[in-house]
Amino acid sequence: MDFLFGNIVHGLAVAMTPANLGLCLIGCVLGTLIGVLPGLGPTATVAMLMPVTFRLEPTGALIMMAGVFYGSQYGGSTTAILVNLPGESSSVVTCLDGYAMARQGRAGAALAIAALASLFAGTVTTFLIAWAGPAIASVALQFQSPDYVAVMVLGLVAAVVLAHGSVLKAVAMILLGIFLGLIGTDVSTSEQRFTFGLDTLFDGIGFVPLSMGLFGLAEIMFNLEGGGEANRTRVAIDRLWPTRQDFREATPAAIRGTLLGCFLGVLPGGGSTIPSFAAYSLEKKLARDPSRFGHGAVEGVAGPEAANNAGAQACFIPMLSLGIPPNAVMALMVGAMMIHGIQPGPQIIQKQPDLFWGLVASMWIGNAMLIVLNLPLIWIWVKLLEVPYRFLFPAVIVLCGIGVYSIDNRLSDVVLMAFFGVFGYGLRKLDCEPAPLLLGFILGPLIEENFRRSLMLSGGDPSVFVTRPISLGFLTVSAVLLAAVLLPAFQQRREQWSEES
Amino acid sequence: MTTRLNLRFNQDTLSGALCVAVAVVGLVAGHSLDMGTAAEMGPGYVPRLLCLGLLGMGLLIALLGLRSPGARPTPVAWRPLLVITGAVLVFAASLERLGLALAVILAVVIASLATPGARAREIVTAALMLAIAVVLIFVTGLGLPVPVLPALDR
Repeated sequence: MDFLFGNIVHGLAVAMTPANLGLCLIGCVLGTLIGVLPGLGPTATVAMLMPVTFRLEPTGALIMMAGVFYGSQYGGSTTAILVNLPGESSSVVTCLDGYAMARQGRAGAALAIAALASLFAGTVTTFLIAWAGPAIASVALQFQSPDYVAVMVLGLVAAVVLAHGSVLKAVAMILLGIFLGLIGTDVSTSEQRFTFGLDTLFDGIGFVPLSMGLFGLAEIMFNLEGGGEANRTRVAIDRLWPTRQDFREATPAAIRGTLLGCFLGVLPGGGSTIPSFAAYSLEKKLARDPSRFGHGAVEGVAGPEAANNAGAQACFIPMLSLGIPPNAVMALMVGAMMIHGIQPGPQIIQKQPDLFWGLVASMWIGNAMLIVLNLPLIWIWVKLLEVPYRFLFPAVIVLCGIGVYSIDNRLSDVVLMAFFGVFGYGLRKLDCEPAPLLLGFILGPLIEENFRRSLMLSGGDPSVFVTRPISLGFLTVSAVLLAAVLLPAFQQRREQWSEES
Repeated sequence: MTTRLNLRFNQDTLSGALCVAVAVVGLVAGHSLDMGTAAEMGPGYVPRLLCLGLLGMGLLIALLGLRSPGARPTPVAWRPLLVITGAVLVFAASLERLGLALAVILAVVIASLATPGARAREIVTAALMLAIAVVLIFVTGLGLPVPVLPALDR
């Protein structure tokens, strides 16, 4: 425990430097902003920030990007409660009871419950990361190549399990992503692969043009399909503080939501959306009178809001301790680390203590900042809801363009981004999710390298993956997960989630 | 006739076809890459394995899509698709030649055409404001080496 305490103090010292505090604040403000604005997600925003972060020092860069992610969870609930539009996919369920509360004239109480539940969840999860991260990493330090292959396979399988829609398509998207990751110069033999003689592709497809195209541009094209803007009816905010009755009902729901969020967030493929849905159905099941749900039940706001924030932070655990990103935003953060020359993996906590502990401590500071940003300053965000999308999207396009260009000052990267924008739009039309593709793209080269090394060490004997206990364990879990997802009962569950979102 | 079309051009058959197409390109283009052996893998080993997997998945998805009539893709909204792609390409083409300021203005004006009912004055104001903000942030603030308004330098 002393060890933990000392490290947290060290982390606070790192996170409290003026530069890092400022970056944390920028991240939280940006996160709230894009959370409030429907149609702009954390993935696209973090992708846009990537080029800016090259000029920062890595700890500050990650602190800012993290702030955007968990900040968007706070902002998303504001829009959900006030205008019945989910600012983020993770706040879809908050609309149900949050907006109902607002219509009963209790918008302030709903906002406060959402923010306080998020703060509680954020605080608990920060300690969870500080405690579990190093523990998992110390185990993972004993991993060898076959174990790495196995744990990455588990990560990809879990991404399939938790993806929306068809399992087969999610698998296909992962394979497609791995294929895109192979393009470029082969690391071991320096031979050109699938470059078709194009100079741009010699170093492989850039991570930033790919993710900005798939998530930034394609999202805009998709959002503009409807043409005009959605009609937004706004409700007034009364007093902010919830009643004692509210607290009594919300507290246990927030605790349950936090636990659920921590658990589901740690799983590879996790994030913030699924925990919020799971928490809502859990609260509905546990309630003495389930018919109150949808008519302004406080638990229906507290549970999911705690869960999505816990999930958003818990998914940092596999990313920081194993180097395996469980979702697209974490994949972007791994990408940012690699650009800064930090090899993601279990050695990060030991080799980059400033980065790990600084980031963890900044999350707690960030959560405190977010409470201030989202309760006393709520009126700013309400005003922002009035900015029409037609002003936003051209700005996003320009920022994507400059961002991609500024990485290497290469115009071909901008063209590549345009290509992936069209490609991403096509994937959405076909109901294929781009997130598993991005995960495959990130993990692909790592899997290939470790796969080749494993078989080289074993002299070409593939049994090396099942004779090592660690690798066998991961592969067994993967197989069980894959089998479970194909079972009819579980498939129904997944369809329910997909439908609700 | 329509039901047959539905069967053929549903989201599943098209996704399957996409995977098969990429896999075939991968197999053909990667034909010359050395396979090596399992113990001593060449650059072509993993790509070939992967493309075969992708081919199998694509065929499976397409066949299942043929058997059960899945949803047809919603119609493509050509206007935003083409206009936004165009805006990005014009940005790329003009950035180094015309400079950052003009490239931003061009991109914003073109992108604004993606929605019906765009107002000229609004667009120009937004474009100018954004151009100023972007130059201040990226060139003045972050020191991005890109010409701002080369026309003025001459």
